Amino acid sequence: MLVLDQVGLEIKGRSILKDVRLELALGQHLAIMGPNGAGKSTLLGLIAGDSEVTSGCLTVFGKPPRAFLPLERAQRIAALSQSSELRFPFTVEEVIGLGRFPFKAKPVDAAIIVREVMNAFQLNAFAQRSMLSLSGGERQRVHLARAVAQIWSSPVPALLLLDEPFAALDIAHQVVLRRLLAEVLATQPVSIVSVVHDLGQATQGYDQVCLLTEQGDQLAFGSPSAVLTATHLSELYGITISEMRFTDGTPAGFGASPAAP
Amino acid sequence: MLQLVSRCRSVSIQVGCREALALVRGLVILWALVFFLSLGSGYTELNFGDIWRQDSLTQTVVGEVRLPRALLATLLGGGLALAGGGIQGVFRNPLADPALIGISGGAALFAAIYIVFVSQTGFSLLGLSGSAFFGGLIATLLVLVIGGRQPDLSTILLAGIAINAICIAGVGLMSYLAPDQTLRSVSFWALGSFNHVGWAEVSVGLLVIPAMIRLISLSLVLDVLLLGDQEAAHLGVSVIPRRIEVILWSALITGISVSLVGIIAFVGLIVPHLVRMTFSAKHVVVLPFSAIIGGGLLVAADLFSRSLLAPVELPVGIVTTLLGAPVFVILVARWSKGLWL
Repeated sequence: MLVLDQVGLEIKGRSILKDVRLELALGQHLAIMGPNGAGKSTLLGLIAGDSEVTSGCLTVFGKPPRAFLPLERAQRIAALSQSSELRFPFTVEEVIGLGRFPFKAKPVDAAIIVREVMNAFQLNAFAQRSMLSLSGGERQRVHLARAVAQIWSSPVPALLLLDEPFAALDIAHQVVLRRLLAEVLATQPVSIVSVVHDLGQATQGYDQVCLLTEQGDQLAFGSPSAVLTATHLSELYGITISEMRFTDGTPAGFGASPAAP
Repeated sequence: MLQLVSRCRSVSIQVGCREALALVRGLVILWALVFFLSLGSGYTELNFGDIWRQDSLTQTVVGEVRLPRALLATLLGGGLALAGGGIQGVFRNPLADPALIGISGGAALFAAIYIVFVSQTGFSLLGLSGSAFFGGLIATLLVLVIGGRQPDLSTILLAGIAINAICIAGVGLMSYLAPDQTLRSVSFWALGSFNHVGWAEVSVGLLVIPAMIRLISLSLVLDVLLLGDQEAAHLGVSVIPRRIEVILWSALITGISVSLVGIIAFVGLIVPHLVRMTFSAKHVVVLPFSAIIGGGLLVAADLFSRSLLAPVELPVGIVTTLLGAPVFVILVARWSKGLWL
């Protein structure tokens, strides 16, 4: 459903992304990883149709994302940027309801879907709270719920793009969100692409990983076990990174020792 | 209203549908009270029964003076409050206002230029409104260019203050250039007054209605725009065309209003705020409620402006500014503390 073939992006003569190749099947979760400034969010934006690729070919559901009409695209691709600002006293329920904007012709479904999504995100108690009274992490959860509401019970395959969805969440809510995203993938015709920073949990829950270098080159793409190795990551970040394990021996992500050069 | 009703029928989120309609009814009754009070009060005092009398005095006082005046105050108060709500939404800035971001100043300047230079060769009310509309539009574009496309509070407001100051200075220059008989009409643009209003002004004022209806129909789009340009695009909104459209309709309302009665500040700022604080921040509520409350408020302000020092009349713009500015200060103080409700 998502195919990138030799995708590159240049802005004002400066190369931002080079030769990105990847493929994502329905129901899979892809993580885009790499150091700061590698162009991870830009890549996500290309998939969302924010701008045109300058070389190569990018298709979502068989078409370049910008070939869709805006509303049509929004019915199939939901995207959550890093910062969503809202300075007005909307309630949580209203904000999640905005996720149904692309389907404004069917407002009755909207009410049901908003309720289901609020249930799934455990936001029922917050439904009538003003966004302005929430903490950063709570707001993040609401905007996530809005993006999920946009593709919830979609009759056709849909794509969910998340820019650092775990960034502002505490560990308990991270676990809840992971479980929730897994559930969305299992029950709905959806694929997910996430930009991820945290190497600590990097191996959990992703089907594919794409590693970008600081120059926007693709270092590796494939299954987490093949791509996420201490060697790759050390090369990528320029410091020594080792794989960590829980005491029972199961993998616990990656970390850099304080003494690492 | 229609929008509200259909919205009520489909989604029963938040305020219940019956409550919303009851609120609308209450607000309309409140407006009607002020409206009829305004028809009765003034130099010739009439009670509610008197205003329907058919004698020539009543017909002149009510039919030719007070009725067009109250009607226009309703139209323009409603229009300005609604345009304020739209401008705040499109700038994602709860403290934006057609007067604060330069629309009114630009409109007043172009109205003054029209009066001084064009109206000697042939004056028309529509020509005046048209030039005020373009003035408002040009000022808005300048503010957007100078203030950058960052919807940041300080840059937009600072650019607006600068443009507004230049425009008001321009109005001053025009009044200096104007021959004596046009001087009064130029200086009145800076202050705002319903003193001269008749049925011709009301008929031009009716032009705000289509703009208001279109803005209300954009309610949901305005909600989505509040999330940010990128987020709105991801939800399927064509951001730039819709934003320009909202600015155009708001500039039209403000331009018409300024050309007919001069600058009336703070109605567009305070009223949508009150609605958000008491009812809901959703534009489908904010815009129509603002229109009803703004209409009532301006009729009341006009009544106040001609009753306070009767028989002398104060410019109504002075009254709205004296009432609105302190409220604005309170809002800024609360907002900077992160308080809303």
